[in-house]
Amino acid sequence: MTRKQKKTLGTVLTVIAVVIIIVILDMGVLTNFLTAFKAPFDISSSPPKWIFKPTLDNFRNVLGKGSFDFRLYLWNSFVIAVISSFIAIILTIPAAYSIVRFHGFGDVILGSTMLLRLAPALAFAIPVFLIFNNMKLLDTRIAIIFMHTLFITPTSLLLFIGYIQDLPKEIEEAASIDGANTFQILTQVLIPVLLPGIGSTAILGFITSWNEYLFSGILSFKKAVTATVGTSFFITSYAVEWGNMAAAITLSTIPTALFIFIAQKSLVKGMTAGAVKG
Amino acid sequence: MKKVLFALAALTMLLCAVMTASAADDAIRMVYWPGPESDAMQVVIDYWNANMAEEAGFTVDMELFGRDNIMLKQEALMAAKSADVDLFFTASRWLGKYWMHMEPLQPYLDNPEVNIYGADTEGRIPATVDGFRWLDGTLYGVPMDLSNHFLYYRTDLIDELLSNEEWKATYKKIALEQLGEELEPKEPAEWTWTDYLAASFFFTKAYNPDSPTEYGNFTHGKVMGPTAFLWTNCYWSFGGDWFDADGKVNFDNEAARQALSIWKTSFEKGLTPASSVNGEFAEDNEAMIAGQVAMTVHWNAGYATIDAEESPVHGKIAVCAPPAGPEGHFAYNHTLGVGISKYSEHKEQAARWAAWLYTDEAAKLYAEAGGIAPSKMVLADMSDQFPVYGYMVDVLNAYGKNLPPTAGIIEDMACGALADAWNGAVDFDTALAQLQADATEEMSYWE
Amino acid sequence: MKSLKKNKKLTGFLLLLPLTIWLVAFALYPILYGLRLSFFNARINNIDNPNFIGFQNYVKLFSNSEFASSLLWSLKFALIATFIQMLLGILIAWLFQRDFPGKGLATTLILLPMVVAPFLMGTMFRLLFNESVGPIAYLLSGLTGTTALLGMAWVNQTIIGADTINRMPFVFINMYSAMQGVPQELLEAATMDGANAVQKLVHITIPTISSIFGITFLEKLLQSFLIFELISAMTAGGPGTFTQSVSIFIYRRAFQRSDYGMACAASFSLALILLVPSLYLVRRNTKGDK
Repeated sequence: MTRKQKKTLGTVLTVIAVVIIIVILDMGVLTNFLTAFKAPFDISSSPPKWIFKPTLDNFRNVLGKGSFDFRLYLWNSFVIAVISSFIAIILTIPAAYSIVRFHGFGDVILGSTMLLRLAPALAFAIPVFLIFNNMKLLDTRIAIIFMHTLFITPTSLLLFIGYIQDLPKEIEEAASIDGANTFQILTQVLIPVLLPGIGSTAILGFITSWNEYLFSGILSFKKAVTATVGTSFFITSYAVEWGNMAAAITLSTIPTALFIFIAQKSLVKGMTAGAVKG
Repeated sequence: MKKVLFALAALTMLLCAVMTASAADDAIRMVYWPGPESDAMQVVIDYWNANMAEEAGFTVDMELFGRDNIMLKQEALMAAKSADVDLFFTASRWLGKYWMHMEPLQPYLDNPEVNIYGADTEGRIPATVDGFRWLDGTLYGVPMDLSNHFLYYRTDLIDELLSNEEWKATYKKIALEQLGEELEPKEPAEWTWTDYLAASFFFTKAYNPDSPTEYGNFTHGKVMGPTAFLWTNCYWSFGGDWFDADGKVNFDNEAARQALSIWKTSFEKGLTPASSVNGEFAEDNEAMIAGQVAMTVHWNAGYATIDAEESPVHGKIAVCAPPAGPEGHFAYNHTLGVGISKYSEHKEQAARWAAWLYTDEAAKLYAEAGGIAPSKMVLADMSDQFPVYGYMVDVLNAYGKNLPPTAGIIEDMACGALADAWNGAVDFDTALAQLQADATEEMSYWE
Repeated sequence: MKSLKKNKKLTGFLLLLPLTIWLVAFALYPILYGLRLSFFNARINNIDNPNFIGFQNYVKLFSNSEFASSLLWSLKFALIATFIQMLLGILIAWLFQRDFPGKGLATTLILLPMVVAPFLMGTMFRLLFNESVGPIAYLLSGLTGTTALLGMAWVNQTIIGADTINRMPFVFINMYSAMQGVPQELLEAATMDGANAVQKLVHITIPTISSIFGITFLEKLLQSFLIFELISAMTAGGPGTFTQSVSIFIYRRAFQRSDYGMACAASFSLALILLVPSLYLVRRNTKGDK
């Protein structure tokens, strides 16, 4: 076997393995996708139907059900998720840099941020509600953004600590000798090298916010309802409206998947990162 | 640092841009929960806003709080003494937790300036109105949506059982083997819980390879209050109740052990699908529609789906009261409805709306839109269109019973302890003693 | 600009300032309020005027066998789920170090299960794993021999599987992006020396990304330990208290029984129990610059 053939074979095997992994991992998403196109009694068929007459009724219900404004909910989710993950990154990169390289006071912040991560937040639902009630911010996206930022911050901070820690210190020292100040080091040296990490942290933050259910649900009534909370309206007093719910989930997966598809490009090793590391 | 400041400024502007000012309006805001109930209520509200609002002087707006966070969200509003909503959503059994944050309704109903429709509580089924009274008799709400329990069964299978001699012989044999009694097949309306178990054994493939269904019954097992209510039909029929005559918690008794052993037999002997330990309403519907089980004690709301035109078991489903115990048959029921918030700034308007909801006009609109308004007249009138309404009236008139408003306080601990007992995780004595102690302690915080 | 060393303390402080302000502004009040409530008997009937009961909530909590068994369940679940998900995440990330056609799409598809909210996916899993009509239950029945995947015998495995589908991509994305930083030259040099793929992974890749590896491990462990939404939707902690994670325990106290004092006490106790091991794990990563 020539080297080229070997390489081709390797690629083919990789693709096969990846396809198998994707099929297994996406089993839930795929069967959910099928459910979204089923009529109620196709959903309740035993054994489950794999071939059926697809219907768009569920999507019609989701998109045109009286006061249920799913387009608004999707837009709310998107705005909230983008801004929350952006704020969390802005707050945590300098903090992580400080904790890794400057020590001192950072330990207190690290500890308290960790505490935030460790105490199940659902016990604090009432005080959180009271705060935003007093600030007259109930049912606004801004209240949910504040909360989501708090949820994203601990994980972002930890991840940036990890990413910065894994960087060789020499890069910054070289820049420092060249006369760069801390801010310049942060923006011109560190951030470019950190791009894959920022990309993955942004994706994670976006997903955390997009998926958050409890506090988005408590803090919103009509105007600031997110897609996740809106979808949960299909869990009714008794039954779950499976088809509508599956359709709503499918619809809300599309913008997130697009966001990830775009953001994951930053995960690929950038030119700068390679050059500095080398 | 300039760039940081610039970034922060940009951020602040961005945040301001996404802020949405909350617009003030004159509408009365009422909490409801999403689903068939809110679809029906929306029709009533639309009618009000189109035809009644002008005379009354205000419109009505519905806030939907999802099933999983409605309690916390309302409690948060109560804790905040928020005037954001004017009417809370409540179930008869939750009243014990919420009445102190709600406004007594009767004085408003008696005030002709508020109640310009002359509405009264007489039109409603009395038990449902009483469900919205606190223990001292004060009325706090409008019963809007009635639910109850039925025994559902497959008529095709039961008819065959009652006519086929071979099946009858097998039935007797299985009953003797499994329950130690030689039982005759009977009409489900005459069943005791022992007959129910015998039929469940008969229709379970593991005991009767010729059974047309895989399992005999579907028993709800999910840890949630409603699961405990389904069991309560059985508990009542053995003479037990959640509270005794003095209002004291009452679980550690012989009736509870007997009722638990009925439930435990279904789970332990595999008379119900194995996953029904985590099953509730939706899972029960799927099992019935799939033809996997022959009978179930289940909510009235399942009827429309299970017996729907397209359902494979359409026309083969009948309902009757849950089986009997030594004390006879009992059919659990409860009511959902709305009551006025003590913190509302529009109490009179809210009361006017609530008074109108008590009219048969509103009840009829609600029922035509698929809700089950507990109005005597409406349910009787509409039983041709929705047969299940007729069955509900019959069963409830004969055997209806509900839990007191304090039940909601201990429903979570009750379902947890009971489920542990019938799953065999904890023995009956320990589970019931623990439940008795925990529930007694909990009730002491609510006096 | 003055030299870095002289102003090191001040710079370190300034860098932390934005985050500190944010935390003080939005987290401090709820936490203090919650801390206060944990010393009160506070239910919805007396939330205006709760009565002070000292450490009683804490005493009751630690003598509550349900709390103890929920801690134990969470611990077991966290260890098993973390092990499986770390292993799979690293292996898949490592597979993705190769170039192959459609890699961008494949990355997105691997991450796809994570973009469905666990609460919603868990609710749909009730249908997809349903014993009578569930497509996944029927697909897997060849392996499991039953479609009763939410029955007593399979419910723990099903939850671990569902959580793995939902959260493993988290490990994957961290490992994948961290592996981008491993110098190609090192790996090539190792290949020259005759190291095989596994040796390269264990001896070069993982040590180079050790910090992010450690952080991901910790974060995954905490995520699993505090698992809530998926279980809440799928089983609500049942049958009985069989799959009651510690977050479900707290949820039931606060939401179902409106026993806020006890729920807050449980939340704080949990945070304190977890703080020491977590900080230790973080510190191991932050001490000793490379």
